Amino acid sequence: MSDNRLEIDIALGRRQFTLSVAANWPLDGCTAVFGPSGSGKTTLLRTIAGFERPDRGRICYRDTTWCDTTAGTWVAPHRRGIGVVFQDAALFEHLSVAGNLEFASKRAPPGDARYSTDDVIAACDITELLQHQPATLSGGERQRVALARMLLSQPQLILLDEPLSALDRDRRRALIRVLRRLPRDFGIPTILVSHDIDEVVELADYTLPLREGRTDGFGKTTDVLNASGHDVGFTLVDAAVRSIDPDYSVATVQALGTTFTLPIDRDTPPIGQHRLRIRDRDVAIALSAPTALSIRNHVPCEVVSISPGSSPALVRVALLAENQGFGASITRAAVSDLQLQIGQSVVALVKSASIDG
Amino acid sequence: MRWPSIIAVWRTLETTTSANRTRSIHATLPGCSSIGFCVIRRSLIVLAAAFVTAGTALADTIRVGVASNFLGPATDIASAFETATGHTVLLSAGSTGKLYGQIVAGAPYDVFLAADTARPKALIDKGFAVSGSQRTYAIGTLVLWSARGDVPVTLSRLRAGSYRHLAIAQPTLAPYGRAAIETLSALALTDRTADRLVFGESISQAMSFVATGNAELGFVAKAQVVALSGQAPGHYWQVPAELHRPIEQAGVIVRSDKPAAAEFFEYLRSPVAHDILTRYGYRSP
Amino acid sequence: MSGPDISALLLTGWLALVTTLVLLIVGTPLAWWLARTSSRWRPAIEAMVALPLVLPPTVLGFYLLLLFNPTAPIGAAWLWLSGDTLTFSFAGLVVASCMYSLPFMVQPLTSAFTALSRGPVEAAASLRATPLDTFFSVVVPLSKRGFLTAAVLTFAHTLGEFGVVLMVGGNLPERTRVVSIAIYEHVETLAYTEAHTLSLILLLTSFVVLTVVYASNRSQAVRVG
Repeated sequence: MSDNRLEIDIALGRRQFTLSVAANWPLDGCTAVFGPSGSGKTTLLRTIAGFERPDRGRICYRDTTWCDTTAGTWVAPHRRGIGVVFQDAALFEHLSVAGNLEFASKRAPPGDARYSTDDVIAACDITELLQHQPATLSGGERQRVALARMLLSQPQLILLDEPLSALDRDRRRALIRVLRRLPRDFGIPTILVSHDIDEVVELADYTLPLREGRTDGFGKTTDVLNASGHDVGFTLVDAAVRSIDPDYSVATVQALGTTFTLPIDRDTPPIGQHRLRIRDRDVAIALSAPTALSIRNHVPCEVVSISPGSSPALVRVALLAENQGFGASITRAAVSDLQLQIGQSVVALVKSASIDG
Repeated sequence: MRWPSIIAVWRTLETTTSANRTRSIHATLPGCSSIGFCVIRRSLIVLAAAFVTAGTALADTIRVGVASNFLGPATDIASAFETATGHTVLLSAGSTGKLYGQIVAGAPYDVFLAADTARPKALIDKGFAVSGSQRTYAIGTLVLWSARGDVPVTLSRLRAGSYRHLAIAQPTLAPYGRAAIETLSALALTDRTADRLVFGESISQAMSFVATGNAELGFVAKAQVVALSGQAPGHYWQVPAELHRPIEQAGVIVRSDKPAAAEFFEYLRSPVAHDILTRYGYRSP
Repeated sequence: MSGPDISALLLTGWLALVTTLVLLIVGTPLAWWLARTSSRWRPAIEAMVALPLVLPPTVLGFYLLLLFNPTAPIGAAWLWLSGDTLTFSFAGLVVASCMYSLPFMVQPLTSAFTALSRGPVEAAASLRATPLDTFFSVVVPLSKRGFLTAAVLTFAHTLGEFGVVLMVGGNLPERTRVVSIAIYEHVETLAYTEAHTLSLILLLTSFVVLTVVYASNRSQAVRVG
């Protein structure tokens, strides 16, 4: 999948706003363009889609140049094979839900279908809605219809513009479940624009952080978030689900050079590669591996740094295991009791961790 | 201000969509693009008219409604009259039918110089003009005119039919149009020209069709062609008077309470007026 | 009613219909351009479109007389192409009416297109619809009401056209003698009965047509609100 490269080097000035992005990244799974509002992420997405023309620069996807201001190359949006889901869904109000879907499937390139209409309708859970008019749908339903419509045009690149921002908590969860399966089920690289760190963590494999119209690094979501100095209070680590024990509702997961036993709370994760979200406050530190403790997940690791925490009483201890960083939030008193030193070998006790997408 | 006169002027303007402009136009072309535009224009005219009519209370100023074809000579005659008597003459040009309608509706004209004899007679019959005052003041001359200077206009050209359009005034509306139809009939050209005739709402419009080159030939008033001389090239052929009934232009005194009106009406018969008439291509009766 | 008056009525209806159709074709792209463009020429073009609203028809009629005459380039080209002059012909009336009624087509359409959010248009492009396809399958149905208003106003306005027709038409029965001219002639010759009949027909037609527009606007507003 590494030939799914997106090469962007553009500059674009709008009123009180400049976007200047240079990036060359492999599109594999889901990539988030992550930043606060006003950072230019929607503009970047719109430029990739072809709804905005950069003042100068070029955009290449795979081996096609979509835009090159020097050579005068311009590929119109409708020829780029992109699928876009807009913040407000942008359904065609004059057509029924079925009409919206048909609009897309009628214009899809023939003989290129990697999945059927029924697959998409089932995946987006909109079977019940087909005869409805868009005006009668709720926000979540609109987004699911928009998603299905986009998929039915058989795009080669999916662009999602804050698709969850208009939704309440429950509908968000429902849509996230659908979105998380997208790259895997349909095999289409996806770019997600979001200002919501949870959304990024749950959906994105890669992240391009954007701040005031400029990028500061591109990489795996875990690395970017961990390295970005975002005090997010958790760490993402790569993990592999090895087995599921339905009797105890627990999964055996390989991560940080250790085998974790984790409870399964909602969906049963499939066997295979996942990410583990470990919250700093769920990690305790012991100088040696304790016995007779309810906390079952013990990670041998090394202290990398000790920095002020989220309150005066707390510090954040950065730890490293198997070249993977993570953190523990403990009291300053505990640090001095244990006489923790940088470079010291300790055992991290991970009380709980959740398995992400 | 005298409100009755303002109302009268307003009603005058109501009877037609076009405004009459004193001494300034040769053809009144009706039509307003929007109601708003018309109302504004009318209001301005009513205001202006109100000032003017406020002055008429002091006498020595008369208003003359004049058929547009006669505006040129009427202007010259009026200024000679003004010099001779010290009175002031305000001329309003319009089509005979329109002026007639305005007078019936109460327009404050003192003298009406029509382009025909029927409308002055009708005014007297209906009691809108001073009985016994009707008199033919000029006889119009019909010419066949082309705006191009390089091809002479002759009767044989009319007979040959080497033209696409022949402009005349609407015969139901204008005496010159009626005379043109009579002429074609006398020349036995009615059928030959039937599908080439185009109609102007007035003799002035028929003339503008020819002047702008949209019609190659037209039957127009000699007075208009004379007024144009020096401004545009062109040729005309004067239609012999026996080919149509005379185009008698009659006038009436509308209001008897103004001595100046009768004076002006009489002045139309003076040698000065006769010279002006002739110069403009009219004949004296 | 007399034969000439009936034919004037029919001619007027036909003229209004043809004008509306021609303006739909010409006015729609112009309105779309006006609604979308950020060109610095836009105000000038908008002003040109609106000119017939403020100018007396005599101005337009005067310039058309100059443009249409067979010695002017446009008049000559038309004569060469069609074998007929533009003045004193139905085709000339259509051209004149199109200019005269242009704002009544373009302005409602422009505001309908301006009111249209960019979302559906961009969504259509992202679903591989070409711009033309997008226009017909998304923009037109979503601007239905604007099209209805524009078409009806254009039709009604052309029905009542007078000044320009008077100047370039030549009052030819069955070719250029429209109702407003016939009414004018009746009024001038004091044939008030005939004038009343035609005026009333014109008035009622315009009233009904305008009522249709306002009724459809209202029902739309109620449904949305």
